[in-house]
Order: sequence, then C-alpha cells, then structure tokens
Amino acid sequence: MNSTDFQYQYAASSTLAREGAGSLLKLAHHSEINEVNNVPCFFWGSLTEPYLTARCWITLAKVVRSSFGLMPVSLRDPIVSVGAEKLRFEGFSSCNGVYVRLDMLPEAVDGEYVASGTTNVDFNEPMIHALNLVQKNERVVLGVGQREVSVATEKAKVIEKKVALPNRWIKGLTNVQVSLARMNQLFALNRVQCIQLFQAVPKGNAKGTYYITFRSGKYSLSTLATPGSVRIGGIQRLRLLEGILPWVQQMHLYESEDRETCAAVADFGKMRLMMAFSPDATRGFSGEGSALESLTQQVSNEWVYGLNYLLKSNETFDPTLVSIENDVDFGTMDSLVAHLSAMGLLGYDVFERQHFYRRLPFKAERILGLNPRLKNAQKLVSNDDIVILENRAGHVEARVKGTGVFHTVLLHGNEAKCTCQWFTSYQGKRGLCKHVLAVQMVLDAG
Amino acid sequence: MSKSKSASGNAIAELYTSLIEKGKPGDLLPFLRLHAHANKAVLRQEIKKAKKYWLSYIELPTGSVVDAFFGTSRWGQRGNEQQQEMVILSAIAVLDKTEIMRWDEAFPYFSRLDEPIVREVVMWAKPTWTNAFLLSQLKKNDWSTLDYFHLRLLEERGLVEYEPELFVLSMTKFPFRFYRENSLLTAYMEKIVNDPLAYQRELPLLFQYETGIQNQNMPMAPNEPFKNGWEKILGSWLDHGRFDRAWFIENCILVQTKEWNGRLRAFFRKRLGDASPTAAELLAAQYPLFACLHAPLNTVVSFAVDLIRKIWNDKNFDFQSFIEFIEPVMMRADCKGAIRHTLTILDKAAQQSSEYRPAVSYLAADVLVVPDLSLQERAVKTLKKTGDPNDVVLTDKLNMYIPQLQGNITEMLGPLLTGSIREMPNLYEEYAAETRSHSMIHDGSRLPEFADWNDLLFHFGKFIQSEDVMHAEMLMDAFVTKRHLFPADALEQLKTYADQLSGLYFNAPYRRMVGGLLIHLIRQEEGFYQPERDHLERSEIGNLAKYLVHQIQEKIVSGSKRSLLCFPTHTPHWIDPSILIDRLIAYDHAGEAVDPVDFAIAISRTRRENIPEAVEKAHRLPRQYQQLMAFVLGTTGEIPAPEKPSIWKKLFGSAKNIDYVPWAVAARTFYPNQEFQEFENTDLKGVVNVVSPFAPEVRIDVRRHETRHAFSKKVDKSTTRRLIATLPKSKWTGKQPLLYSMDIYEHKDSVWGINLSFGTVLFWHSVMPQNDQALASFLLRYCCEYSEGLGEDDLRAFLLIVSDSSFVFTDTIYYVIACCYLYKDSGLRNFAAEVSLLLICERRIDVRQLGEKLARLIFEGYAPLQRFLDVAAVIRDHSALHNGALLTLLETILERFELKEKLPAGFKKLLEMYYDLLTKTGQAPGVSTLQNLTKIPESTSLKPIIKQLQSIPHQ
Repeated sequence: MNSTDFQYQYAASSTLAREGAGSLLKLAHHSEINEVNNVPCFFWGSLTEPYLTARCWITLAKVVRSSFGLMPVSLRDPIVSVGAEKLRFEGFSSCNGVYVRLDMLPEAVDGEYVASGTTNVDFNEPMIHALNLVQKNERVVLGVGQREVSVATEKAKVIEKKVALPNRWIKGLTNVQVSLARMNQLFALNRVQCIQLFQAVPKGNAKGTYYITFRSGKYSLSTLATPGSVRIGGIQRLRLLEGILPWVQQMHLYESEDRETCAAVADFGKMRLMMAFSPDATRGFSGEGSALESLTQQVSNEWVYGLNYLLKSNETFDPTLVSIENDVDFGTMDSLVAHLSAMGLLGYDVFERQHFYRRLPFKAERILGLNPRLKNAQKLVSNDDIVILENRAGHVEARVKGTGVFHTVLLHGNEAKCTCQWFTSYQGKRGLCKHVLAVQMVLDAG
Repeated sequence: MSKSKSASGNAIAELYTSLIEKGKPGDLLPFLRLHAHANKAVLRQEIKKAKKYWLSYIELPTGSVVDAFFGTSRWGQRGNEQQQEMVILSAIAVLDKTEIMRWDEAFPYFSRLDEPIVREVVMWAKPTWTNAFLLSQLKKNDWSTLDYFHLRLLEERGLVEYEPELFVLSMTKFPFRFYRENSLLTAYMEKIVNDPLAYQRELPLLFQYETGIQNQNMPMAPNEPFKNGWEKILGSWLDHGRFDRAWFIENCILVQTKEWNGRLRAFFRKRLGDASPTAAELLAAQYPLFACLHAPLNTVVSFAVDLIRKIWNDKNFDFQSFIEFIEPVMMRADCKGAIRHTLTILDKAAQQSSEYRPAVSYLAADVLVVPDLSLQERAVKTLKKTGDPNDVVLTDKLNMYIPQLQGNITEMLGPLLTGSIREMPNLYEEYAAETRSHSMIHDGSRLPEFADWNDLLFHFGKFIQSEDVMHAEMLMDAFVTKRHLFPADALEQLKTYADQLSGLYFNAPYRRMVGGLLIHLIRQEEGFYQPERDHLERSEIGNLAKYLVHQIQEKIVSGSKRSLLCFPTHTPHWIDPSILIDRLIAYDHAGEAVDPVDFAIAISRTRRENIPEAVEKAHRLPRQYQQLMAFVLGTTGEIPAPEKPSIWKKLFGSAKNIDYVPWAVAARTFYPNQEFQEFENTDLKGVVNVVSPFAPEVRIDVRRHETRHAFSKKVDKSTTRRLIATLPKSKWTGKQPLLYSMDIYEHKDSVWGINLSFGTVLFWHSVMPQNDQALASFLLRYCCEYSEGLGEDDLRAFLLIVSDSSFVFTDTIYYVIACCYLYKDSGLRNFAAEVSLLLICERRIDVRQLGEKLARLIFEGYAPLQRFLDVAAVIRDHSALHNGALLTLLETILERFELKEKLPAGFKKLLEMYYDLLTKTGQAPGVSTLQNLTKIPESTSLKPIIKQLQSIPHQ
C-alpha cells in the first residue's frame, strides 16, 4: 500500500471543557502549508445550535473512523475550511468510500472569522466523548485554533500525532469533487419519509446493490433498478446518517449521471451535512478516475496559481462567470476546473450546485503526484508506445504497447474503448485507462 | 575496508547463528551487549532469517527423534522453546518500529517481565517503539492481553510513555493465563481494586475508549461458572466510594449514545442497575437520558424510557425537553414497547396539564406512521383524548399519514379527519392469473451480428464481464463463421484477452470451459483443448459445455463454416425452427455429422413459431430427421414405435434402431406435462422424466436435538426443520443428451451441499428454456433444504429467470418461489418481492398456488413467518391489483391454517395485515377462512383481531 506518514503536529489537543454555564470547544489545527499553519486562529464564536452541531460532529467523527472495505479503521482528522462566513468540515471514511462534509452556514455560528483558510483539526476520543455532553440550551464557544496569541506562542508541549495518512485519502478528497459536480437531485424527503426509509435499511452487511425508489406514496429500497431510482452500493453505509435523522428538515438525494455514485444532503436549515457514497463498499473515491479525461489537456500554471491568489477559502467559484469575465473558452475552463479539483483547490457544493474555493492543507506536489494513471499515460507518450492507425472524423484507432501485448484503443464519437484489463473490468465506469489517456494526449498534441 | 567489514559481518552472522543453535537464552544478552550496536544492520538480516528458519511451521524431516516426539503428525517448528525465545528477544532488542510491527510473537514477552532473562533484555534494549507496538497488538486481537502491572513497570522504567488508550485497554483485559489459575485472577483483581492509580487515572477512560470489558468472564474459583471480573471491581469501587456516584451514573447513561459494541453498552446499563440510582440522581442525569432517546439501538431507547418513567412526574423533570426529544422515537417501528410506555406517560401528563395536549396529540399522531395495527389503535386512544379537530397542525399531520393507516384506523379517527381527508384512491382490483403466449421469434429479437472486427474484439470484454450465456456462444461461433472478419494480426490483438482470461476464475463451468477454449485458440496451442469435468460442479448440465467446446474445435479443424445447431438465432437463446431446418439440411449436404448434445439443446431451444416457413422447408430434410422435426414443429404428435428386430434384419444388419433421446427431449420440451407411454417400449423405459413428467414429493422433516451445557449442565432443546424433495436414487447412465433426466437423481455427496452457481443456473435455463421443471427440482432438493442455507446466489439467478416473460410455472417452481420468500437472506427475499411485483403486474403468477405452498411451509415451521411478512409488506399497497393479489394470497394461506405444535410467531401480524387489507379495500373475509380461524386456540392476544375479522360485514 502506498502510504505517506503525514505527521500532524498540534500545539495542543482539541478539548471541550466546561466553563461556567457553558462549554468551550477548542479545535487544535495543523497544516502542511506553513503560511496556513502559522495562523493562530481562524474562527472564534458561539454555536447557535450547540446540540445539533455536536450531533453533526459526532456523525462526522463516526464517518472518519469507519471502514467498509478491507482497510483497517483509524480515526483520521477532518479538515476545516473557514471563510466567506462559512465553516466547512470535511473528511473521509478510512476505506475512502464515504465522503462527509458539514457546511455550517452563517446562521449556525455567532462569532468572528479571524482568518480564512483550510487546515486539519484534531479529533480525539476524549473530545468526541465530551461532545456527547453538549446540551440543547447551553452556550458552546467554538475556537478553530487559539484565540490568544500568547497561548499559541507559549512553549506548550507539541502534540505529535503520527498518522499513516495514505495517499488515497488525499486523492479521494480531490476526486470526489468531480463526482459531486456530475450529480443531479432526484428526491427530497421530509423527516417522516427519512425515518421510514432508514427503517427499511437492512441490518448488517447486506450484499448487492440497492435502489431508493418512490412508490406507493413512500420511499423504499428495492434490489431492482427502476427508472428514477437512486442507486446505492453498500447500503449499510447509509446507516452513518442515522444519528442525525431526528433533526433533518429535508434530505436531498443525488445521483451521478453514470448512476455510479450518490450523495445525501441532510438539511437542518442553519447547517447541511452531506455524505457521498462511492459505487460500492469495496470501492473508494480515490480509485475513481473521473477527472482524468480533463487532465490530459495541459493548462497553464499561470491560470492555476492566478486563481489561487484571487480567491479565498469557501468563496464561490463560478466557472461560467470566470470564463466570460476572463475570456477563457469553456473547454479550457473544464480542464481548469478539473485541474483545480485535482490539486485540492476546489470543492463542490452539490446543494447549491456550485464550486467553492479551498486549498487542502497538503503540499501541492503531494497532491499532484496522486494520479498514477495520468503519469503512466505520460510515460507511454514519452516512450513513443502509441501508434495511431486511423484518424478520421469522430473515429480513431490506435495500438498501445502493453506488457508483452498490444492494446487496441478505439475512440468513436464520445465512446472510448480499450482491450486492457482495466477497461474490461470496469467498462469505462472508473474513468479512462492509461492507454486511452495516452492516445488522447497524442491527439491533443496534434 | 569494505571487505574487512563484510568479513566481520559474516563472522557476527555465524556467531549469532551458532548462538541460536546452542539454545542457551542466558548467552543472548552478553552477545547483544558486545555486538548489537556495531552490527545492527547485519543482525537485523540474521534475525529475520532466524525467524523464518526457527519459527516457521513446516513439515518436519524424518528422523528418529522427531518421529518419537511427533508421532504421526509432522507439522511443527524447527526451533525448540529456548531457540525461539532467543530469536524473539533479539528481535525486541534490535529491530526498529516498522520491522517489529510484524512480530506478533514479541507481544507475549511484555507480559513475562517477571522473568529475569526477558526483563534484562528489554531493560537493556530500551526499545522506542513500545507504545505503538503494544497498542496496535492490543487493538488487533480481542484475545491479546498485557498484564497491566507489567505495563506500569515499563512506565516506571521509562520504557513506555503514558498513553490513555494503551493503559485502559491493558487494564481491562485480564491476562489469558488467569483462565486456568483462579487464585491469580482474584489476587490481580484485588490489586486493581486497591490501586489508586487504577481508579483515579484509568477508570474515567473506561467511558472514553471502547474496551472489551464486557468479555472479561472467567471462573473465580475452580468449577465455578464464568463471571465478569469487572462487575466485581466496579461494584467494589462503587461500594467504597472510589468515584463520584453522580459522575458514574451520568457516564453509564452517556456511553449508550456511542456507536460502541452493543454488549459493552449493555454491560454499563447493568452497572447502572447495580448502582440503583435514586430518583434524585436520575433527575440530575435527565439530559443524558434524553440524548439516549436518539440512539439508533432500540434497546437503548427502551432503557431510557424505562428510567424516565420513574421520574417524569417530578417537578424538576423538564417535560418540555422530553417532548422535544421523544418525537423521533414515536415514528420508529423498532421501538414499539417504548412508544407504548411513552403514550401512557403522555396520557397522564395531558390529563394533569392541559397545556401539553396539543404537543401530546402531535406525538400520538406520529405513531401512525408505524405499520402496526394495535399500536395505531393505542395511539388513536390518546388522540381522541387530546386531539383538537380544529388544530390545523394536527389535521395536516393526520392527512399526511393517511396512506400509512392500518385497518379501520381511518374510521376510528372520525372527526379528526373530517374535512381534511382526501378522496381515497381505488385500493382493490380483483386478481386472476392469465396465460399469454409471447412471441420470441421476430425481427426485433434477432441475434445481433458482429458489424466488424472491432465489434467482435471488444465482445471479449463483454464475455469476461457478463454471466450472459449468449456472449460466450457468440464468441465461439465467431471462430467458426466469422473468420472473414479476423484481420491478419487478430490473434496478436487478442493476446491481451488470453492473458486476462488466464488470470480469472469463473464460478460457472461453462464460462471456465469457453474461457479455456478462447485461450487455447488465441495462443494457438497444439491439439484439442479438452476441459476436465468440473468436480466442484456436481451437476451434469453444468458440465455440458465441454461437448460444445469440442464440437467447435472439430469445426475449426475441418474448416466448417456452419454454426452449431444450438447456436441461438434470436436473443437470448431461442432458435427459429426454419433456421434449424436450414442448418440440418446444410449439415447433410456438407456431410457434417450432427452431435447429439448439440442437437438435443437445439431442439429444446426451438420455439414453435414461424411454423409455416419451417414446414415448407421440412420436406428437404434428410429422412432421418423428417419425422422428428415434424414432431418438434407440432405437425404430428406421433412417436414412431421401435422396430421389432427380426432375425432376418439382425443377420443382414438392416434393423434401424431409433435413437429415442432427441424424441424424449422434444416430448418433454413441447409437452411438459404429458405422459408418453410410447417410451415404455424403448431403452428409456424407467428413466425419470421420460414417460411421465417428474415432480418431487415434498415433505418437512423435523429433527429434535438436545445439548447439555458444559458448566451449567442445563439441557437445551432445539428443533431443526428441513424440506425434503425426494429425487430418484439412481443416476441416468445412458447417452448424455437426455437433458431433462441427467441431473434429477439423489447425489450421494449431498452432505456437503450441492449448489450450482449463479452462472450455471442461467446456463441450465438457457439449455432448456421451455421447461424449467428439472432445474426447479434440483434447486428445491439442494438449495432449499434449509431456509438458512447457502443457495441464495442460485435462487437469485432462478428468480431472474422466473421474471422472463416466456417463463412457464409448475407446482415445483411455486415451491421454489415460496422458499425464496422464506429464505434467511434478506437480499434474496427482497429480490423475490420485487419479482413478485412484476409477475403480479403482468398477471403471470398464480397466487393461489403460491399461497398453498407458502401455507404448508409456514405452518409446518420451515421458516419464521416474519420473513414472509417482510415480502408481503413490499407487495402491499403497491397498486390496487397488487392488493387484490396479496389478499388472495393471504386468504389462501389462512384457509390452510393448521395448528401443528404451536402458532407460528408473528401470526397475529399476519391476521392484522389481512384485516388491514380487507378494511382498506372494502372486502369481506372468505367464509372458509373465517371458519378455519375458529381452529385457533383461545388466546388473549389474538382474540381482538379475530373478533374484528368476524365483525366485517359480508357484502
């Protein structure tokens, strides 16, 4: 397994302490990027819905320490983006198959946005245990970082948390944004409908794929695909949402255009908790190469870094508007969006149907090195392993050198096929294979 | 320089090897002191080698000592106890963190620190990885234990840093050796009880980290039953006031909201019970109790409601918050007990204080989303007391819940629904199954042709990915009839698929055989590819593909360009009779022999469609096929009688022995239920499914078991029930292609269970698509024997076949479907429900026949009734037609109600569902059903619902 020992170095542990009549939750933060790491405090203020927020954080913690595949379970620290009067907490399950994000809207907090940025926050067991104690009417103050500069500069013992943070975790964070951007809303359930639907979720690990359908006046689960249903593999993962159902005002269900991935957004009014599910419990978002196609086209680094300086954390990123304002053609903009997502610079809010800017707290070179299929495709190109046999309007046939064999690549209209094992296994459902990518690179290069 | 270094390395390696060989642990530390620091890299390698050599389990070589020691078993390790100890201790002393993490063997040594040799090595080595290693070991396995006091020793010596999770896990797990030595356990527990650090520092961590405290059950004295040691320790701390009671009570409640092991949470609930909290103490913990009301686990909700019942009437109880928290509980079908208790509380509260009435009525209304008649009736009682017909919020809620209302709840709600009730849709349509014939041979279903080479090339991927039999057949046929599409480098292009296929394992033998053939052809291997019979697949049909694979190779070798006779002309497996006739004529013209298996499959796949065109061509058939094809086409029903062998004919060899196998296949294909006495005078006499159609007899076998518990000596009685579908004892050993008889016999090795596979079931149906009786008999015998069996994949494939519009039902098939309804696997039951929705929609399933089989299986205790109710719940209210079908199904079941030993659990729910459907659809119960219900023994719980059923007026 390819893993990176990403070392969190928190100035202190996150704590939830009772202070007077209320509680103070101090989230310790750490980023691999120095300029972010040096920010002492991002946000300081009180929660307007402390009990509900605590339940959402507990759910978030439940996701980041769950695993539905073969990966061992370990508690990984979520990421928080502060800015544009919003706080967004996001994370992944250990198996990479469930992405969770809590969007705290301006009404969810009453406080000061001291700085904007994205950072890791320490989620430890005692703190999560203490979240259980939060009550409805108590005052809870949230601090992302330390408010007092003196505290931050004090020579406190550095809490080192050595976590074998696998590349796939970071890679999943970038890939999922592309999947989310390709989703459409299919259903909106009220609380009663939600509770009824979740009562039908089979106990234990149910095999196979389920479909959420609306029939006979209610939402139910079916093992047969019917038109207009939402497909969900590894149905037991849906149970992660159980803890917040009592407060849901509406739950919106989304499905990707290829019917592979889906997402549920629990709307609480002041907050929204979103969970996205990979095609199956055994598949993580990290392996879904949905962004690869756009990444074959080179985009000027000036554009990428230019946008990085233009936007602040959580700020809306409207590709159409940026295209028009800056006279960028839409094709380039698609590639630019894919590049920004793959670099961890864009997230996607499926509820508001728009991208938002945030810079993941990992070094850019770490993130960019996470697309082995793309790197392998580049290698094929540089080794001159591609022979274009036929290239006419809408039809390309090529031979690409493989290990001891040749692969036939066929591009016909919008369809791309290859005789390699990757394509055979997934029939194009997990992004393009390196052979198709390599052919596209050769064609793009003209 | 490097040479001398290497020489010294070799010397150290040799020294280390000889040290281990000698096996004196006392020599290890002096060696390490002398050489470890300077030769770390060499020693690391040597330790890993030593582990492989001395610690690996191997088949030991023969030798007098080994033989004497091991007797017949030769499986063991090379190293003796001392040698192994030396290897592991040297690993502890030398290896770094990444390396030691894979040495599970090192872990027990940290519980042996009282042994001087172990202690001295560890103290000398001072490993820096102890925290990470010990924690990962403790978390990895439930049975890994580390003596808490040894850990404390390591902490004192600075070899371990204090880490809460490590210490609490170590403390809560009793060392494994205490199972045998009770006195050690009691002394250990005594030590913990009196250890201030344990109850001051470690105790709070019990509520922060998920431990296995609930599993620490050991006998406290010889021959005593197992008891949980922590129950005693916590009890002692509580009695001696080692912690704050209020804090303990609050945390015992709070941990219930965590996603922890259910038994761990139950353990803390019991401890709370042991503490016997007073009302005042519970009141102080009322908010944590409210939090428990939102726990996903229903037992936690019931626990919270039970405690709230004790305090809700106190003036310090925050009733308003309780009302807010309890809301989601009122909609939970798995919290019926808690809902009933809550309704009692709410009734009393509303009576005491009218201000709560609106809120109470809303909560009672929410109960109506739970599909339980008696619970809804209970909620209506509260609603009648507290509901205000002018309250818009309430009437809106009730209006929204109308589709969920059971039985006569709509009428019971009366004035509360007036004005808000919408026009009820028609909920009933009478159901009757219809027999329709479907055309399978038409232009739209013609088997697609490969357009070009690329189309053919990428079809290999489809074959690899799909269980569809058609893809395999299309590829095999391509090597015979589509060679003109193959470019010069075709096999070169296909090599990638040969590689992929050779790395794959398919469950279904037909896919493995076809895959093997494709590899053979692509790699141009010499000779014929001859697949072995698959012994994992015990069915004859499953192995039939080997004949087709052989036939394809014959064609390739002979240069034939003609498809197999059985190659489908229309999707997915149908053959146009006129094309079969064309093929037979072409074979005859080319002098190509007809393979009997190929021909038999072709007959069974031939549809009786497009008959005029076929009849027109039939006269051109070779003589030997004319009569048979006339029978296949249905132009004659006559089966020729065998010629009597006269001496004259025998002498001159002119006697024509008719091969009756294809006739028998054709007869069973086109006349599945007919008797054919004609075969009585042939060599097929007595073969199952030839003269008469075969349907296995079905009975439920009951076995009673008694098991005596080892410690309590209690005798547990249990019963298992299995379905026995009797098949003939002997196997058909004649010619292969007697398709409908080949597998219908009792397999001797059925003790291991004989499942087919998803793909084989599809293949079987593809070979005999017009009569699935043989397949159903096989599945009923081998996959449905136990409702808890492992045949869900086979049955899922069967249900897929059942949903096909051309499928023909039989008695046995209804039994298989009934078993699917009752199978333990919920996914299969759900799938069965989905297929039923479709079948009812198309009016293809006879619900009366299905009901008869279900009644027998349910009342003879084959499986829990609840499983059927789950399926019925999916069908209910799907449409008026589905309600009609379900009503007939329930009525058929109840008509056949028979009390065997006791009423099946869930029988009341069955009656409630029946009542609900009757009232909702305005139907009356059947007279025979009502009469049959009088057989039900007097039961207070059933009395009301039976009375309700009897009170429905007949129209």
